Amino acid sequence: MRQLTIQDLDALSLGATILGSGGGGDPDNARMLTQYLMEQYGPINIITVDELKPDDLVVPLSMMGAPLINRERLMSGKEWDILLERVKPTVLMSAEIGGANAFTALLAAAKSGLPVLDADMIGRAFPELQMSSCYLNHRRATPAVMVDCLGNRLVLETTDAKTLENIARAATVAMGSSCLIAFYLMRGSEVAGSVVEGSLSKALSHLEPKMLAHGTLVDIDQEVQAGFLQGSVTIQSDQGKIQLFYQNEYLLAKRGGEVLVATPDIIVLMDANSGTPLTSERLSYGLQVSLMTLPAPEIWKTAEGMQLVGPAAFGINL
Amino acid sequence: MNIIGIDIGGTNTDAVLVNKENIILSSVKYPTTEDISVGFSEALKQLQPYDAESIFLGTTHATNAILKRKGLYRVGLIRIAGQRPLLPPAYGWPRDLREAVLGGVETIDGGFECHGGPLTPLSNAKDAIERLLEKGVESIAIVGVFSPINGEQEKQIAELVGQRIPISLSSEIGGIGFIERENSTLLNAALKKVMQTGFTSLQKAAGSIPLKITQNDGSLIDMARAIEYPVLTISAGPTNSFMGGVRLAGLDHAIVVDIGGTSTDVGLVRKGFPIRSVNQSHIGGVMLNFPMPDVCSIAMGGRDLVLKQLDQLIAPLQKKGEVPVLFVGGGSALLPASYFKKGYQKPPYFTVANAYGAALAEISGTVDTVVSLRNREEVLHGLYEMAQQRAVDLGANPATLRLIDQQIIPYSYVPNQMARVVIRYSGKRVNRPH
Repeated sequence: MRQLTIQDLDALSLGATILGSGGGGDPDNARMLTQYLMEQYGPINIITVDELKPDDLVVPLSMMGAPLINRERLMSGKEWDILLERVKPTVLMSAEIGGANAFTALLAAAKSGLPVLDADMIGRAFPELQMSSCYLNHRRATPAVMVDCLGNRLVLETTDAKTLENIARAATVAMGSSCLIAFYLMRGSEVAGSVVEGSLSKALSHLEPKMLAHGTLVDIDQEVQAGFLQGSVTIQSDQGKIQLFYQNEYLLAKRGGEVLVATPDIIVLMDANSGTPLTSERLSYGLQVSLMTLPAPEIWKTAEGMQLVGPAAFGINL
Repeated sequence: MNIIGIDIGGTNTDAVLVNKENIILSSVKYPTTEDISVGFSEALKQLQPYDAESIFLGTTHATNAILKRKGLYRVGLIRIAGQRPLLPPAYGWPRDLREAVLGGVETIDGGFECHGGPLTPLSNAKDAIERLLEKGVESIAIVGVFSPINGEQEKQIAELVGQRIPISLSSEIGGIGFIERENSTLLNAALKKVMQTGFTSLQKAAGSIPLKITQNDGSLIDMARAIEYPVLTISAGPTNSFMGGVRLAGLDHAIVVDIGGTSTDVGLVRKGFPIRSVNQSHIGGVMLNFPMPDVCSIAMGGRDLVLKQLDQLIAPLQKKGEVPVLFVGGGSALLPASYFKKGYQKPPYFTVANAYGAALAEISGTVDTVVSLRNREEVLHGLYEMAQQRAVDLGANPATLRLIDQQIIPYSYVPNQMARVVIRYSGKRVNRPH
């Protein structure tokens, strides 16, 4: 076990944004709220998978919907207060380490004193609930519980994860386009092998993405389709003209016909002036960028993994 | 008819007289006085004779009030937020500023969702207002969830306050982003005290010549609006210096270094406008969401300026290659000749670039809201027209309007193609051909 302190939060924010591969939303507001809560309630305990007890109830948490909503409709705390009261977990886990969700379990842990597992279900960010290690390991996605900032709560039981994604997505819109969801609940004995271990530690560590090219963003072509920011941007770079395709997360970088990097490998676009990673919402003409990459989490490199989150899953034909 | 551009800085009050072709006819530098209207009057006197139709003024007076925590009202905040936000107001502010400004907080039910429907029904604010008044607050700030989409609730609460004390409505001050907009509204409410007296005294000193104020993006607002929304004027200074500097050098693209008596600002101008940081602008440690120029500042000026530190600020902006570096401001006169390597220059009238920038100021209209982009072309067209109309209402010549900023920030992971859209149009004042 280790303790997460306020001093760790900036590093976590940076690491989470890098692992977000352009998606997952800006962690800024979540980081600020986490800090506020930790100032009241103290450091957060982080435990590893081998420290779990067999009958622990491990509850993965995720904010669902548009991260930008929470910048305007600030969170109330009822989201996790009510969820914890209903579900009664003994251990919490952020379902997704990429982007703002790296902080979701921490928000629930701060006041409750519950430990947070050093793990997640994705190893990066992906947009849909079934894109997770638990799905690959045939875990049951439901019962799932959703709570919004007003305290409205919903319990769902579905036949499979994709159906959960569809119903929960519609419910999220009815809840003002943002809510907290707990899903893929597991007993301590079921966790090993079902999650991506060490995600928090990884996000806190000194990540060293591999440099691919330096250049300037020219020609942004994007639109919002079915809730996903889809588009492509051209980078005029020292390695030639590179095209970057994204659907919230950056999915593919090509130079002419040559694929430089593709999902599930992580793509990082660093703003050269500020030295910070850019989420896909922040792209604008004229930005000087560095295109970098990190290898995909191991779970996605299998045939089943590729089927779920490879280029074809996003409608990209290579 | 000519225009007088004036910049009241921390150290000096600069004034220029500019003709219709934007040529500087004369310039004056006078030490800034404790009562800013005295230095202002003296500078005007020394600028005579002039045949001026207007005075355009930029000043750091509001910025200084915040930085010094002097002359600020104690503010009572009303949050219209039915979900009851967990994060308190003024979180992360320097403690002394928070204590000087925040006199009381009341949260009431109400607010909107991103699609425009109600978050919760609006509760009666009467008791909340009474409690704030009992605490002795001198100015009220009202901030509602998603109020930039619909300002009605904030207006209703304002009516309950009535004429008792000054009121600041967040929907009229900032765009989407609750914390940043709340910060701006709190500062606005606090600044009304010093800016009311300051601007009124300047108005008197200007006499019969109309006086307009430059705001954060370098465009003009009239006195009544500046007194109502002083927070809009806080970073006009650097904007004026940067724009004045490039115009004096006849360039569109340059790094501008403004060396003053006590501080130095470095910024990048592209296509004639300083590059802006919408989401990360801040003043005195407080996060705001105005499009303010992306400025790097050193709290050193004049002879104290360490040239090595200055080089470190200039270097990253030069990454793209040969970008000219312009030096403006009184402190630039102290730079040794040996410092000026290739591409470094002091344009003519560099010591009064800020006043010149003010004289060139235009009028802008902005829209910052959340919409569905389902009928993208139609919706954007409507927003363009709204922004243009706002500029025209403020005195812009419609024939000179052009789009200077467009940002579309989509709300990911939800359908209906919701997005935050920021549109800004700028144009010359009516009767001003250039």
